Amino acid sequence: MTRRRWATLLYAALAALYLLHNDLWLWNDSRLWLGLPAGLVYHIGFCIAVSVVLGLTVVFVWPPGVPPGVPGAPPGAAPGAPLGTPPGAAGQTRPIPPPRGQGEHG
Amino acid sequence: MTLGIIAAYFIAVLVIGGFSHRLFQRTSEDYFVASRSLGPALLLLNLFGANMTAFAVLGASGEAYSSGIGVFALMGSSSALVIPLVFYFVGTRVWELGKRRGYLSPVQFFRERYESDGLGLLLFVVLNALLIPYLLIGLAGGGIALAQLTGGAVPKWAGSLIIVAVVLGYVAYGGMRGAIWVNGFQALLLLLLGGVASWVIVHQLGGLESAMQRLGAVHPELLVRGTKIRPLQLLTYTLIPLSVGMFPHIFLQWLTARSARAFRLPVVIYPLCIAVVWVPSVVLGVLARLDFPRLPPAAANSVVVRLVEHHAPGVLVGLLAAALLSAIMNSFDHQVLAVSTMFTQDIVVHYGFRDRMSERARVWVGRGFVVGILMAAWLLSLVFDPSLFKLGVWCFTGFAALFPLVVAALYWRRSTRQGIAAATLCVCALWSWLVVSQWRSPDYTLGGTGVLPVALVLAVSIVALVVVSLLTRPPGAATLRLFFSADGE
Repeated sequence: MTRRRWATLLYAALAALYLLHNDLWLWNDSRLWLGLPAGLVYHIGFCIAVSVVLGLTVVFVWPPGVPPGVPGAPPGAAPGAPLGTPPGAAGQTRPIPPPRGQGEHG
Repeated sequence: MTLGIIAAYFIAVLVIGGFSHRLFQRTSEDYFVASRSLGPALLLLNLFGANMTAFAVLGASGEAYSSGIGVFALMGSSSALVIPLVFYFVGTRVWELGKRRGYLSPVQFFRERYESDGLGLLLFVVLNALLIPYLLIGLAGGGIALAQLTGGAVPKWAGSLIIVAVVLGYVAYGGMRGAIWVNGFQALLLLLLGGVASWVIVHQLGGLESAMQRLGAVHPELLVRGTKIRPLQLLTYTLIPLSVGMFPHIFLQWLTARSARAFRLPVVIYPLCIAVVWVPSVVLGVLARLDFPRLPPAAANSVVVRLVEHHAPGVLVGLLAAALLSAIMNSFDHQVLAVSTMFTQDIVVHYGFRDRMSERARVWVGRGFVVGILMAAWLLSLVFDPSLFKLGVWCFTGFAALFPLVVAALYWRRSTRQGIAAATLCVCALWSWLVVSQWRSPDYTLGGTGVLPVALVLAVSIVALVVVSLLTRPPGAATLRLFFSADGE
């Protein structure tokens, strides 16, 4: 399955979980499941389901804009340098223009 | 015994903080964001610990005592879904930009994204105005809890002072690195001791099923949502955890990650951590009705302390005190560090000294602010009115209503500084009006419908942001390239 299909499937699953969070059908159910009230057991299961879906999401779909395995910047990443200077690599990223009437950021 | 365990806990915290200082690299980046070096496990423990305040842990038991098991769905499992998604969609992107652009505070990010010093200043004021009361509530709550746990042997003022002194010991000295190591230890303690305390108490009550059956016979309303929680309340409460996306202390913790991959573990495991801490709190809260059937509302937040004292005095009270202090200090230290970072980076360095300040000087200014903020927080906690605890819920509402700002900054090219400013000002105006008119009613819902005020303030924030952005000119192409292309070119 392609990354795009995984993304569609898993984001749909997360949206479904958002809806399933509203368990109106257990609202007044006082039965005990495994010694705990049904409404509480359902939401424990909900947490586990969220964890599983998110596990699949971080494996098969990586967040937009963050390529997998972005390498860490070199040590000494320009702390205190002007914000237009990228960490550890002055000059590789174009400094942003300062706001009108102001000097450099940083 | 209790005092001995608390003293041992504080010593352990200071030793860990002192050890972490050996790794300190004496740069401002190390002091404020630990040189962006955190791996997945420490990132998870710190993100979890910073969100899991004593307010949340004790408050959950207190709410469960009054309203029943629905509290877990309302506050626990909604956070289990929403908070990891915020880490996933917002945290990873903030980390990537922070690493690339060298950010040390959220204000720096917004200032550069929208090419506006004025907007940076506005956000500096608003973020601090929302964070400082929250920080103060945590400290005052810690003093009160410590006094209860020690039976008054440690008065409230002394309890708050001890917390301030210990946090001073490891945050002023080691900065973010000190806070990270100590918080890793504290979050583990919280996760372990919550389970131990519940197991002992439930065992004393004759086992889980038996205790729940007894509870069901006398208070069946606590085993269901019933009329205590309304469906619209459950639906709109899921907006409250969005506040995480605008908490300055969480923003700084995102910046401490070693890589984007370090977020994977927190995203996946966070929901389970929520269940591990919240389920025992809620179970103990409802079961407390068996031993203390009619506590007044003000005393409900101390039901766990009362249960432990009743069923397992001695060592367990001491361990519970340690867990409680972990929850308090886990968030308090990061909040203090966040305020100090914003004052240092966004005011002193940005407006005062820019290129004229050495790394060493920046670290010392940061330390100075940590000391000053801790002292101010302690003095304010002495005159703290307990009714102000109700403001805590409103702080969450304010941060959640600002969440569209960070989403727009990261994902919407067309958003403008005027749009962000309009949304911020609308949130401030509406939030202030709601707080002034309803601040004594943390359970207030719009027209009594169950819809929480956060839904209204958030909707106004989104409308103001979108409409004003579409009517004004977006940032320049060069800036947009920096924020919306993979390599910033």
